[in-house]
Amino acid sequence: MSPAEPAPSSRPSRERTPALRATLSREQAESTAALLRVVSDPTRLQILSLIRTSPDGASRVADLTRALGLRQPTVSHHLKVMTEAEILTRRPAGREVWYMIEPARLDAVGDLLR
Amino acid sequence: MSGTAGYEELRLRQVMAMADPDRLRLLALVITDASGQPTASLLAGRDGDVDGVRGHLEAMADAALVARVAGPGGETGYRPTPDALARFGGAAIASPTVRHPEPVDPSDHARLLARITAELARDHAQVLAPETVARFVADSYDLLAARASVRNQLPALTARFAADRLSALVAPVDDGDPASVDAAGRSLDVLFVCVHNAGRSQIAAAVLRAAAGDRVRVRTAGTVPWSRIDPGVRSELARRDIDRLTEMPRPLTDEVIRASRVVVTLGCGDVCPVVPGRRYLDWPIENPAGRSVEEISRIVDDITARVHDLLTDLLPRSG
Repeated sequence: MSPAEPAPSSRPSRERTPALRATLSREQAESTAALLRVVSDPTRLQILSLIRTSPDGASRVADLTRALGLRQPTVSHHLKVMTEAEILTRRPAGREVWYMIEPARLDAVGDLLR
Repeated sequence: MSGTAGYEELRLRQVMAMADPDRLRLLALVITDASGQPTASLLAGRDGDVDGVRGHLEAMADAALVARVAGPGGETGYRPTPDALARFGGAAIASPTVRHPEPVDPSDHARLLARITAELARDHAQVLAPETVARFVADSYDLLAARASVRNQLPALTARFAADRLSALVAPVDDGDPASVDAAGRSLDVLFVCVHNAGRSQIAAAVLRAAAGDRVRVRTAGTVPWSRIDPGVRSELARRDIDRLTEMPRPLTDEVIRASRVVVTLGCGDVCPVVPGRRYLDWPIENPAGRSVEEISRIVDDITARVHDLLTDLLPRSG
C-alpha cells in the first residue's frame, strides 16, 4: 500500500509544505468569519446563549429583555442584526415572535458558546 | 478577573480574534499539521509571508487559541489549545453547512484520514511501514470516535493523536538538546496518567511544563478519558496562568508508556499497565472533579509540590 504520489527523496522532511493545505476554502473561511464578526459582541453572545439554552431553543424579545436587564429596543436591534446575518431565524406565532438559531448555524454557534 | 466574567471575556476575545478568514484558514493548518506544533515558516510555505503568518499566530496566542512552544531550530512552534479545538475546530476543519444541515459525511472523514495517513507515512518513511502508520491512524480514530462529542473535530484530533503516538513509538527523539537527555543518554519523558485525563494528570502536566519548559517532554493520558478538562480544574489553572499548558484528554496506550522514562500515576495505579524498565511513581491524589474552589486549589498545591520535587530529582543541578 504505497502513497499515490512518491515523495521526492531530495526534499528534506522539515522543509516540506503542509500536505493538508486545502482543509478550509476561502469561501468557507469568509462565511465563518462573517458569522464571527457579527457575534463579536458580549450582548450578542449572551443572547445566543440564552436562546440556545431556552426550553424549545426559542425565545421572545420580552424573555431576553428580562434575562439581560436591557432595554427592549437594544435587544430588538441585536436580534434584527443577527436575523439579517442569517444567524437567527424568526417564527411569528400569533402576536408574538419567537427567535431561534438558524439550524445551519447551530453547530458553529454551539461550539462558540462552549 | 475570575469566574464567569473571565471566562466570557476570554471567549469574546477569542471570537474577535478569529473573525478573520486568514486566521481561520491558518488555524485549520495548525490543527491538521502532523507535528501538532508547526512554526510560522512551515505554515507560510517556501514563498509565503512568514512575518504576516507570525503576526496572525501571535494574535491567536494572545487570545489563548494557540500556545507557543519551542520548535525545531529554536523557532517558536504553535500548538492549538483546547479552546481552539472546542470553539473553532469544527469551523476550521469542516465546511460549514450553509443551507441544509446534515450529518458529517463519513466519506469526508475517510478522505481526510487517507491524507493524514499519507502525510504521517511520509514523515516516518525511514522508520515505519505505511501499513503500521495506517493501522495507527485507524486505531486512533476509533479510540477518539468512541468518546468525541463533536464529530467534526475527529479528523483533526486523529491527526494530532496519531502523530503523538507515532513519535512516541519511534522515541527517544534526539532533538540535539543535551539538557533533555539524562546521563545514560535517554531523553527525559514524563507521562502523567489518571483516570479521566481531565483533572489530576492535566494539573501535573501544566505545572511541569511551566517549571521545566523544553527540558522535559511531558505527556498525559487517561485510562477512561473524558472529552474535556474539568471546568473547575481549568479555572484554577487559569487563575495560575498555566491553563494553556494543558491538552485535550486522550486515551492511555501501551506505546506511550514505553516511550516514557518516568510514569506517574495519579489515582489509577492498578489500571496502568506496567512496562519493565520504566520508573513508576504513584501519587495518591484526590479527584478534583466536582470539588469546591478551595479544595481544588489545595489539590493543585499538593500536585505542584510533588512535581517540583520530581523535577529536582530528575534535573538535580538546574531544577
